[in-house]
Amino acid sequence: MEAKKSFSDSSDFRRESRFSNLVQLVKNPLGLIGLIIVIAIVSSAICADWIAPYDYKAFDIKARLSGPTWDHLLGTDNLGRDTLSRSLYGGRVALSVALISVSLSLVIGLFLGMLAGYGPRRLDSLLVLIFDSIRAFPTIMFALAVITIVGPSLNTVIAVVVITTVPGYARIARTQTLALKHTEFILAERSLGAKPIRVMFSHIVPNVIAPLLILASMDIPVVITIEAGLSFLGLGVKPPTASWGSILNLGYSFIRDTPWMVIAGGVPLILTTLGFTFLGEALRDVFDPKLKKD
Amino acid sequence: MANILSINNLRVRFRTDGAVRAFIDRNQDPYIDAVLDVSLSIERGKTLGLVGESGSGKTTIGRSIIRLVDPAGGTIMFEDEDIGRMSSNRLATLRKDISMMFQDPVASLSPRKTVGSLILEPFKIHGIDQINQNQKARELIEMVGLNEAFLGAYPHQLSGGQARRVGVARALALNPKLVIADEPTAGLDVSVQGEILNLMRRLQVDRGLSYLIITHNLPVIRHLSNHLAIIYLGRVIEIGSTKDIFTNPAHPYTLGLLSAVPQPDPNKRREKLKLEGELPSLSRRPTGCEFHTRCPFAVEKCQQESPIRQEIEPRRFVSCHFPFPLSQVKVQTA
Amino acid sequence: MSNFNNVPVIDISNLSVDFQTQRGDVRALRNVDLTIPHNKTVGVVGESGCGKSTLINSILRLLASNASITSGSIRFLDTNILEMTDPELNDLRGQKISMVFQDPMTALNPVITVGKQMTDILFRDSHSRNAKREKARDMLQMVGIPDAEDRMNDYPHQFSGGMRQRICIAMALMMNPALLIADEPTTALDVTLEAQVIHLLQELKNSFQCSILFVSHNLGLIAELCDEVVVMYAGEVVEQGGVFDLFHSPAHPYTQRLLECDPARIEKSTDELPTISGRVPDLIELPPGCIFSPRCVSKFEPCSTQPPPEFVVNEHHKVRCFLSQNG
Repeated sequence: MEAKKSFSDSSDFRRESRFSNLVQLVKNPLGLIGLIIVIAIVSSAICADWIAPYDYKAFDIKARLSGPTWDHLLGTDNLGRDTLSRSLYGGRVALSVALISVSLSLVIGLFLGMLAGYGPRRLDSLLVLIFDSIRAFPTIMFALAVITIVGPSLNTVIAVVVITTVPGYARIARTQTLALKHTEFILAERSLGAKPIRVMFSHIVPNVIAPLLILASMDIPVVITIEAGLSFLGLGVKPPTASWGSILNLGYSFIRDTPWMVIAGGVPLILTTLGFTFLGEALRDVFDPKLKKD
Repeated sequence: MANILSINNLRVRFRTDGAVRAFIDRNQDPYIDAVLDVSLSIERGKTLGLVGESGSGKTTIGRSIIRLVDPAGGTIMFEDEDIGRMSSNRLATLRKDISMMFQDPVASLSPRKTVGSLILEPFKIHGIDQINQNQKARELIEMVGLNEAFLGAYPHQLSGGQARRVGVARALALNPKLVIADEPTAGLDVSVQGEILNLMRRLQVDRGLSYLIITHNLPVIRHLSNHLAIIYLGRVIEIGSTKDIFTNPAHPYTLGLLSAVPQPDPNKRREKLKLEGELPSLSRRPTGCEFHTRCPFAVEKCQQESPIRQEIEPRRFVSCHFPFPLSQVKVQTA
Repeated sequence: MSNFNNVPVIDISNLSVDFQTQRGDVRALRNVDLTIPHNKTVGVVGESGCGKSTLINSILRLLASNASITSGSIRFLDTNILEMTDPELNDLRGQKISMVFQDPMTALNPVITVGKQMTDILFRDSHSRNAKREKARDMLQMVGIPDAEDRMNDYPHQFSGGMRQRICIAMALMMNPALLIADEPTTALDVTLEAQVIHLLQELKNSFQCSILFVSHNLGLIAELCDEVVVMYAGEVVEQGGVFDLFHSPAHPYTQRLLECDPARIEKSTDELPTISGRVPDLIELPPGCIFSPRCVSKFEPCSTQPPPEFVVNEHHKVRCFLSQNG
């Protein structure tokens, strides 16, 4: 009899604001530290042109291999190049490689994974076969092989990283899609006449994106280390472009003369890795729906 | 035409083994029939209740009507068209005319969408955008007795009853002619149950809707449907008007179902027909009358011969060798 | 335990439980009094959010970590459960009080055979493995599992839903508990199986001499099985009494409405089903008077200002409603 009456005591649904995720992230000490480190590193990489005291390839022959001085806060290398400037520019290289390749992997992996999960079974088997074959390759070996054939460059590094990490994203997207495929809300959408593309992009993506983002933020430090490793071996960026890996490499050659290069290349590498890992773990706590339902 | 939907000899089968597996196991028949020879019809503006235990195939019948599962045989006529032979384009538009409500009120709403966008979803799917979206959303949410504040809510913030109302709004958004409701009261409290059923009833009268209600809840269906079809192992074993079936069940299974409903009165403790055993497996259907394994009245004939569907009264069919004579067995069923 | 025949199995008095949440304290149970006499079946009825599960979890001391018991006591025979140590509690759970859950699909471990799961319960016993297996087999036979001997080597997924619930009941009774708690044991089952399980519980109740706390939202089942009924609403016991008193002369307006709403009770087919308007109140900010007053159709002056005390209708029938003030 009261069916027509609207409920007046409906609770305030706006409580869960758009920023609640961010607030929750900042409340977590690990997340806050991670966020601060990441912001610092990213902004210093973006602003390298303005904050670096010298050009990263400018020589100062008189001050070769110097320790920290007021002119060169972190000393210079064997060619007299300013180490601080070089590691700021190195950050730019590291982050751009990481962000470009991880976002490419994420998008490609998401798409292929959903296709495998939602599409016909034969396509699924084929894609899974491809993913598994790629995953069987060790990343570094694969990178070395490709670089020997194509020659070292930043693009090669990005391509290798994308190819080897896509299966990770695709597998997660696929499993999640498979689990969602038979849920009632997907059936309900289909019963309303929604086409597969709409179901995938409008209803599956928002439900699978969270674990992929977590994986992505955890993958960034891995990619940064891969890039540094390859550059350390001389297979990444070409000189004179600065990279944390090449700074480290040079630092090792002259470690008896000055320890500052190793510090200038190593510390930012470690900080970035830690920052993104913290952030990734905090993100996982935020996105985990089980913790969210209080 | 008086019937908005008529189903004839519908058959739905599922594959149990993959092709390779079936070959290795020398399984000649890797299929099970989930629905067999089902014939029923729904009158325009009326409600048909589909009653059966879980695993009886009642949900599959509902889903095959909107082709979420494909039938293996038989015809499903909606007005004058065979749904089984529709092109995929026609099927997409068919879903404006027939809509479905799923069992779990909360889980059938996409979890990361707001109620507002969920309600407008049907319009987006069918490319209907020449409407005032805000106004339409408000109209729909008020139609089901919720206020505007709910448009910003996410499904997990809703109670079962509220989520069910949103489901009703979504199902009715495009003015369908037929609504298929799978267990519309599942998981709802008794006091809320009534609200939802009254709402569905009011909307049926206002809009001339026809309903197909799939349920195992006999006390509820009694107040909501005009006709009943009782399903056992994917077959219709009795069909007729709700009133007749409740007062004079002709099939022993129907009688068993009715007697199994517990009465909220300690004076009426069960002294009725009790069915032994459980639903047999679909892959090993019993011979003869498929109910004979649980039927307290079964005789030898029941084990050997399948009963033929007989019309014991106008529009009242039963598949049993020995249906209860009408007006002889009076069941006590509140 | 035969000398405890006059002592109730469970005696809960004045129990209150709060849950601490971000929004404030949820007052999930308030001043609950409940006794389960020896060899009786007590039914608890109530809609979702009435505190049924909090009540069960308090008896077993399995409350979530953000819960706190703010007042009252729960006595099991002669001991207060709230003062028990962890070893005593472990002794209590599963042995003296056992439980049958709502969903038989998830209550059994899927990777261990039924026979092993049943004999594992007897780990406290010093009997030989064969003796334990025999006991398990007898129990399975008693709950109506055909070919019990063979089927003990089967895994839970090889049984149907109804059979699994029977197994759960057999497991719960393995230790001869003094109290069996059945939490909506038939909601996952079809009506015909539900009827079978209820019938089984009726039979077992007599042969095992144990008390049953039967929690359900289905009034029909309560009427079918129980001797005494407790009606809960929003964390309070609003009415309790013998099953006949409660179903034939309910005193609390909530009980009356609940009975009216049950479609199984409505004799004539109707277009308009009765409902209880309004919603269960927010348990963080309670209304000052009677908890049901915002939804009550027969409320009068004192209802919205002061909470009603318990009025006695007859020896066993008690109700918290001012309507019963004058007898």
